[in-house]
Amino acid sequence: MDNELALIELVKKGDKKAYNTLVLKYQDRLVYSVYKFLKDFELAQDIAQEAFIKAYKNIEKFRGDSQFYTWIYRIAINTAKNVVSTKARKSEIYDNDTTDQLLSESAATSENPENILQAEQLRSEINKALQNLPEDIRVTLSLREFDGLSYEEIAKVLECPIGTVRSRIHKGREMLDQTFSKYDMSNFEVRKI
Amino acid sequence: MNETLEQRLSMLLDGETTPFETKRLVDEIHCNPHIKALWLRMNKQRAALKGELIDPTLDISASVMSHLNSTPQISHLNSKPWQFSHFFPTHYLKACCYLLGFFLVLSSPLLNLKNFSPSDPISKLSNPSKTFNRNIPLPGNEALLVDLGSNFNGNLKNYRMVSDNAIEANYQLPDNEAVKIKVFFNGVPQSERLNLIESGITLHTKSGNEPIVLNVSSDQISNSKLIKISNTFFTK
Repeated sequence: MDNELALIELVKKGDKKAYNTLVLKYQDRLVYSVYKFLKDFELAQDIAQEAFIKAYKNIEKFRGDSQFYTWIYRIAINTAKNVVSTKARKSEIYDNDTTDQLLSESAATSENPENILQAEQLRSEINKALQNLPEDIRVTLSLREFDGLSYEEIAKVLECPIGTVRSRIHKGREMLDQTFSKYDMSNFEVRKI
Repeated sequence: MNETLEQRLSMLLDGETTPFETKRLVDEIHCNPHIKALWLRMNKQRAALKGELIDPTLDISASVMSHLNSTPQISHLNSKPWQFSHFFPTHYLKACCYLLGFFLVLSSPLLNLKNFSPSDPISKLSNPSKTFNRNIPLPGNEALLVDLGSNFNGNLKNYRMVSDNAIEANYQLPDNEAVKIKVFFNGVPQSERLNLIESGITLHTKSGNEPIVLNVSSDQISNSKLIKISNTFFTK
């Protein structure tokens, strides 16, 4: 599992660059998670932004019992729930009990990525590139990205030195980056609901 | 270890760097636009792999940081009005402690107080000239609590009188672990003490020439660490 305590410690000491590193790391994932709830891309960005600001202001309360992402996810979802509740109150359509229902329905209907966005093409390219990686690199990278194993755990599973794990993962990312860089981002169209 | 910068970034992405390396990479990311772009791309690549990429051009970091840069540093954001040390910086409190101690040492012959006995093993407790005393105003004891915490890098978070003869102080360690110290003045009946002590390590010691009892406890740290903290009261 990720150990980001070193980064968090820097943030707690007031290192904003360290926090920016975390924002860069988690922004896509957080916006995506909020988007799944709200189905509103621009609002999801605003809420993710607010969550990052709230998290920074309360970083002293983060004790490291969970992953940083889990913690900020909770902040973002609570913020999203507040937004939905406020909307519901304003519109006088929903009562309090229907807020959670509204959120869960929203999340359920957005399970199909095609209903959310047209980023499928890029994802498909990346996944194709992943499948085309040499087997040892693909397996190592997959254990890291999809199974969340640490380098040490991967080394044990694959019975190879940890240095080999490090270099395979890096090599895999470098090869995927070639696909990613080549991809014409201007063709990428985000469907905003 | 001859990893390239890109490889070290890859390790940072996986949380596999040492704290020292993390700090170096954070600096590199923000000094070198090329490295920053690479870091951004690596994260987008990961998001794409996991199906979490909505917009490859998304970057809210600038607006987040712009907002944060217009707010005070984090240490000021978390100021708590009840925390004495925020009103009086630690160095000021320490200076006050030393002055108070110095004054007590100088005044002890005049007041006919017994000297600290060097043969007494418990006399090593912190600075013998600093004395917990129920009769001095509470801020005076608070300064001593702050100083007590400095023995084990504990930051005094809050404190309260739990009885006429006892103070309970809560500290935060650098790793965010909480430690509680109860200070019992001389004359606290054992029954009352037992009522107030739930767990941890209890030391019979002296502060100045006042016998006191310290109880150090925490539900977040190991016994061995608790013992180490207790030992700091004897080694200073």
